[in-house]
Amino acid sequence: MRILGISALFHDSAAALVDGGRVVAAVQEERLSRKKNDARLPLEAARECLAQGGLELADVDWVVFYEKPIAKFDRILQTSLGAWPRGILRFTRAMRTWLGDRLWLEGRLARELGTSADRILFSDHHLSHAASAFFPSPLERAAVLTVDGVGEWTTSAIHHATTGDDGRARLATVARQRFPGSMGLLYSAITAYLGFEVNVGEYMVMGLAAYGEPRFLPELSRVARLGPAGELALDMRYFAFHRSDAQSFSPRLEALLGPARDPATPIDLDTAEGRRLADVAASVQRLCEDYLVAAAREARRVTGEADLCLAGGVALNCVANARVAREAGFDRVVVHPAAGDAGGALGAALLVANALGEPRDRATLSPQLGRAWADEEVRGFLRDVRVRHTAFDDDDALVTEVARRLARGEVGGWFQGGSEWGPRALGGRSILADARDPGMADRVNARVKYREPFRPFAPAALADDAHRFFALDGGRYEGLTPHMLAVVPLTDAGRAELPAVCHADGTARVQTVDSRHHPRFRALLEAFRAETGVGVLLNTSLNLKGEPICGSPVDALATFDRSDLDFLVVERCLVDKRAA
Amino acid sequence: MITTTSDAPLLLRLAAPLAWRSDRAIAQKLMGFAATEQGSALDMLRAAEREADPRLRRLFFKHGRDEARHAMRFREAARRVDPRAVARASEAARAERQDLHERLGLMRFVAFVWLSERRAAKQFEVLAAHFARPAAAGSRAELARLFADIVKDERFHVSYSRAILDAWCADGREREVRRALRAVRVHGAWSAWRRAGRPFGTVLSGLVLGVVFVAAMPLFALVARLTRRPAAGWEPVRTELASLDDLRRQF
Repeated sequence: MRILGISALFHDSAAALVDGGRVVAAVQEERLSRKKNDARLPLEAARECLAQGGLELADVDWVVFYEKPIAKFDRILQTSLGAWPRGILRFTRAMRTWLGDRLWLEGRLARELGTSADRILFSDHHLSHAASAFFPSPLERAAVLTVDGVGEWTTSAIHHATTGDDGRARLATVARQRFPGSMGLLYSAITAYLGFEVNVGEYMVMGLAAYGEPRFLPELSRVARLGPAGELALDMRYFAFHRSDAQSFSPRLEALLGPARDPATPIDLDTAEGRRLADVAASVQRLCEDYLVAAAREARRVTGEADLCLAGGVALNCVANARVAREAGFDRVVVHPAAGDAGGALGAALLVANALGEPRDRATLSPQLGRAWADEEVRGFLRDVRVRHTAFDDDDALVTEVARRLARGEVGGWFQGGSEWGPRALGGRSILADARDPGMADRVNARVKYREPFRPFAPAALADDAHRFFALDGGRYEGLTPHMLAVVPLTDAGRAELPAVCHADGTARVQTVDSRHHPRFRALLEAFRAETGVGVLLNTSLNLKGEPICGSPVDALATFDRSDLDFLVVERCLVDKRAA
Repeated sequence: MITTTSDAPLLLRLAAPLAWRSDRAIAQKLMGFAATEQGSALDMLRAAEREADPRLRRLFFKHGRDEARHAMRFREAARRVDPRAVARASEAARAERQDLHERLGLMRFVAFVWLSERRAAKQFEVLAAHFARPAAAGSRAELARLFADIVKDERFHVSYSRAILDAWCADGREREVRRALRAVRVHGAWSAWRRAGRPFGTVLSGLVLGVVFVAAMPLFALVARLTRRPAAGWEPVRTELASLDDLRRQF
């Protein structure tokens, strides 16, 4: 049975194809459309998934949307009416969108995808997240915790996943918290307060938090009451997201925490104002961590399970994930690599496959589920467009040359295999540099990324060498680090040898690289270790600020063109900046 | 085929001082250009990716790289003129690829490129001249240089696309070329009409819905408030989507 999963129309739209219970492809629309956080129906991504499966839409048995649109409309309508008359702007905007388009989603999906309406199904937002985390995991049974802004009505949910003797899994939501008690919306409101873009700037809040102290926790406890089991209640007088699309917080929040930051004013951590903003970030980050740990403990209590799967946008908070792994009392913690809404496409497809009797695929999920480009295709393109390059005949020669360049301080783009599923570059669409160089983070920022100086860069490390540099606490984070989903402390050796990836608080969001999914990337790390004695590289995504991660070789070349990268490797072709 | 300032429509020349009157307006216009150039870059690069003819592939690729560079230069110039005005604007977020190569087919695509680049070249000629004038030059010499540089690229785009169309005409496909140009012009006019109508439709629907909200919704609002359930921590539930009926429901 072939099932196409779709998530769309909020942010990060995506498509995923599951065939016979096996994940064939999963692609975010933004990687193809080049529009960051593209929310439109993922028609290109759907076509791409089908192409990877060698299928036409006529071959697909079911198309499943990742949430229940009418239930979501109910929430939006009730919330707007509840805020009468102040909810007028939200009401008019929401009605324009919903009456004009989204209420007729079944027909629109059928029309735009070119299928019939009776083949369209609808999952539940949080069950889609839960399925994305549990079904591709190695676990037979688990507690599943999903936490995000809001789905239909649910903001957090505890699910219980088990596997029967027949190999079929059962996944049921057993407890939930409802809108507006939402950690995701609270975090986003503070993100907006700190002058960052909602749904994009949450990573910046997490990075900024390391420079602050959580001294605003008492104030935040008036804004958000957190119970011992993770019960969350927001005081809506501090917020505006329930009555406005444009504004997340109310003037009362500014009266409590001080003035919000103007997005045009840079954060200067040497000033009292910069430190205040960092303290606000540290406070909401601490609250988020406390919430996630408490909710995970509650999930353990409710389900009695020893392992945990996590998904939902808040599960991309890598600092909180690591605390859950350490403190919530689970043996294993697994997070889906595309934990945000994009992942809902894959979860919904897997959920339908399971519900309709398909066996659960036991293979480990590859993090590179997007389109790959054959070496010959790349060579042909570079030849056609007359970009000078060196083509290597074997991997050894390629990785040796790249390792040598990186070791002498060059910064390079690395484009290999399929595009990554999820927001992290894991060695498929990466910018790589020497993590031993103390000035490297500044150089990568100044030449390519143009990011805020307080945002750290992440390391990619050989899985068998990572313990030397990172406090991995045995295998505690092994369900997280392959997808760069946990922030862990560096060891003394790590701090001494890897200054470019050591954040202000002595931590790093490490990726452990094995040969199963990243043979060429692993070979490069090994070559770099042979060259330098350190099997670790700085690894950041191959894109410019404000743009999505590159999807195709053309995107990579266009990015290379506009940056100061020294070289770009696409499959086995190396383009040198000086020669290009 | 290359335009000069004197070829540019009078309206463009007259409108320039008004449209580019303040730092804020200049920054916003430059960000608008950045969005257009970025969108164009995405289309040209996609065309290079899909096109089979190596010569056209090379031309489209060069064109795409030029446009991407222009977008970057416009964005940087906007930031220098007024960082506050552009802090919230991201041309990359607004830039849209239209997949014209795929949608229009090769001949119409090239016709589109020729017409739009010719229009852009005229516009940038006017702006280069505008910012080069002594009255505007004081703090704007940099913008005059920027537009003059970009005009050079635009001229190349005009000339290569015209050369492709001319080559097709020489191959006896003149009628097809003429038809393609006409179709693109009609499509452009229709798109402009729809673009112009959108803000009007948005305002009108907003007004109607606003009146509905104020006049017809108070009773429903009261019911919504009275029946609102406070968020009360964890609620035990049992939700499972185990059958086709469950999965067909939209609520």
